[in-house]
Formats: sequence, C-alpha cells, structure tokens
Amino acid sequence: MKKITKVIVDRNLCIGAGTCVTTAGEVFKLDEENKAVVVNIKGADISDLLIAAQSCPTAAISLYDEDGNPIFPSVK
Amino acid sequence: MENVDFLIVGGGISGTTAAETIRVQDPASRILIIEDENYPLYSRVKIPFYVKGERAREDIFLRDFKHYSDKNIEYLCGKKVVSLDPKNQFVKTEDGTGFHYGKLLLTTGGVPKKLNKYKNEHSLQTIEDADKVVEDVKKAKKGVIIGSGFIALEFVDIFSHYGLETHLCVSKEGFWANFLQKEVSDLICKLLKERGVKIYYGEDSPFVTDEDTIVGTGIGLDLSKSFFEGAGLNFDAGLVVDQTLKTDFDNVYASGDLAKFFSKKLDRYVRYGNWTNAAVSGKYAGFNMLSKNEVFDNLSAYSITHDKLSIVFLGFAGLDGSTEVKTKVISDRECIQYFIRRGKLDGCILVNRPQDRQNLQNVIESREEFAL
Repeated sequence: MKKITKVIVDRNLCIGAGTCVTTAGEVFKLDEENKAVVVNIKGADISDLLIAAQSCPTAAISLYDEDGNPIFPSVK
Repeated sequence: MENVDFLIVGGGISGTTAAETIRVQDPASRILIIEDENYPLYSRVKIPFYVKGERAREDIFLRDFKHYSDKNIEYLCGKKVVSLDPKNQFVKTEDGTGFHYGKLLLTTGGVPKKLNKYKNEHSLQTIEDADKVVEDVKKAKKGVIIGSGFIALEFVDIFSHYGLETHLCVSKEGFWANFLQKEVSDLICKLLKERGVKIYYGEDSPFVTDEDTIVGTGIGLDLSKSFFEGAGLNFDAGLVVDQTLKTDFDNVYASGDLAKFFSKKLDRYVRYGNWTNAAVSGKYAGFNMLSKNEVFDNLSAYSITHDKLSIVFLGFAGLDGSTEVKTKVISDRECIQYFIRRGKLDGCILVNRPQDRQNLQNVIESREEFAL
C-alpha cells in the first residue's frame, strides 16, 4: 500500500464521536467545538489510520496517497 | 456442516472491524460474518441525519457487499444464530446450518425495549426503524417521546425538525434520572423547554393516542443473548470477558455493547454501549483472535449535539453504591456531573462544556486524586 500523505476531516460531517481520537490519538484531537482535527499525520501507522477512517460513524475522514489518489473512501 | 477459521456473529461496526483487522494480518484464513439484518454495515449514528432528510438513505451505508468480497470476508446476512455449543465449537443458524469454528466473536449488541402499547410507536435503531419513522413522521402533527437518554434526544430533534408539536414523557424524577442528578436533569429539561418541548413527569402525554401523533420510544436496550443462554458463558448484565476480550472459553470472544470487561484504568468492570467502544473493541478482538494478547482498556466517550444542547459522556458514568456523584453548575446553560470513587474521577457528564472534554479525559486517565 502507498503512503498516506493527506488526511482530511470534513467538519460538516464530524459529530465529535471521537472514534478517530481513540484509534489514532496522536493524529487526531477534538477541538473546542468538539470536532476532530488533524494534529500530526505521522502519528500513527497506516493500519491505525485506516481503522480510524473506516470506523468513523459519519465517514468524515478521507485518506489520500502521495499521488493524491483516495485510499479511503475509495469512491466518495 | 461448514468449517470456518474465524466466525463473527454480528455484522455491526465491531464485527466488521474485527473481520477487517484479522484479514489485514492473515490473508488466507476463512472469515465469516453472520448478521441477522439484510444489509451491509451502516452507521446507526447517521440514522437521524437520514430521518431528517439531511442525508440520503444510501449515505448511511459504510460498506457495500462488494467490499466484503474484495476482502475475501464472507458475509451471510439475514440469518439468525439460534444456538451455540462452545465445548464443541459449534454454532447453528435458524435454517439449521451448522458452523464449526476455530475462533468465535460474539458481537450481537442488543435490541431496543418496546412498550408495545401505542399504535404508532417507533424505535430508532435499525435502518428499517428509520424507514418507518420517515414514512410516519410526515403524516403526523404531534410527536410524543417516551423515555430519557440519547435516543429520546434524537427523537426530540427529529420531531422538532419536522415542526411537530413535541411532547416528552420522562420519569417522575426527571430526565435520565437513573444517571443524572436533579440539577443536571432540570437544566436539560429547561433547554428542551426553550426549544418548545412540553415535558411530562411520570405520566404520558394526553395526546399519545391521537391519530395524528407519532410516538418515539427510548427506554433502553435488551442485550441479544438468547442464543447463548445455557451454553455456560458468564453473563452478568453483559457477557463477561477478560482484558483480552476473551470469555471463559478459550476460543470465544465478545466485543461491542455485549462485552463487560475489566478496566484496569478504572479498576472496575464496565460495559459501554456506544459506537466508538464497539469499533475499538472490534479491533482488539480481531488482534486477540489472532493470539496477539493485547489488553483492551478503552475509556468510553460519547457525545450528542442538537441545537443549543451538547452532552458528552466520558468514562464510567453510572450510579452504584460505591460511586459518589457531584455536580458543578457553571452557568445557567452549562454544568458537569462527576462520578468519583475512592477519591479518583471515574467518569463525567458534560452539558454544554465540550471544551472540557480532553482535559477531563486526561484527569480520568491520570488516576490522580480528584477534588472539585
């Protein structure tokens, strides 16, 4: 699998469930509005980033590789 | 009879995450999920968005059937498991098919309790529940909600969204009285009243039987355990597992809402019923079914935000004989209820204070002495 170089959280979709923070706490934090933000993209390995994105209950997290291709979701 | 290396009963986020975790580590084994609903994984959390018309029905789904086949995960849906024989590592579905497993994960969650008292009564757990609410809410003029808790708040938001006259029937003691101290319960009721919700204490709304009324219930969940009753598993208000999510049987695991695990952080058994706990415990169950022996000790967190009301549950937020409960009222719209045991903070409920979430989570995890 290619490296994940871009992680985007859609603030309109994020409801602050915090699943990403629990699965990849070095990458995601909740801000004062209870929305997830990316603080350090290198804070977790690919498998934890994938689990964070795949288990987000509102599918608010998108992952991209170094060529800009979507890794998750594969089709939005 | 079929042989399966990893059998997962329950295809929600916990079972799906477990299956995907196993597959990443083990490309060749046979993995089978048995799910009693007819759909691939969808987000129960997104159901209210669909009901309010803010998201399309297809947006609720987090996987499609092709995803499972691409990952070489078998997904048998629309089938109920009716019996478990853990000594012989055998599970049977209602059509009589038998499965012999190497490792088994039970992650069946629960089903909403029903009143079965009113004609137009609705739960809000499955996508089919949601379809029925969508159909009936548009015909209704009034909405009556019976119960307290997150689902009751979702119904308030849905009925308000559709412009219905909204009535909420809570217990005599107040909203969510089995969790909340009176001042917290009163604050939530005040904020709901500001939204135009009429609240009834210890009685049903007089409009509950009207023809133009839709009724939403949020009165708790019964865990799905009938298929393993009598099988020798330790069930005590949850399926009791060790720190690796393993039951008393070596090759049987549990995760999600069903699992009652020992939290070393909090030094107590806990059972959490929320999405994040289900997802994360599914990941650990997957690892541990591969004999990784990783300790699961998730600190629960769940939040809801509607209009001007945000509520966050952190850690162990429950009442028992050994837990002291204190409330700090911060303003006429904000308060925090603390659950303290042996001088340490085990959990809290934050009303309109999401900015304190991370700090309080750190306090709970630090296990340092806590004083208000």
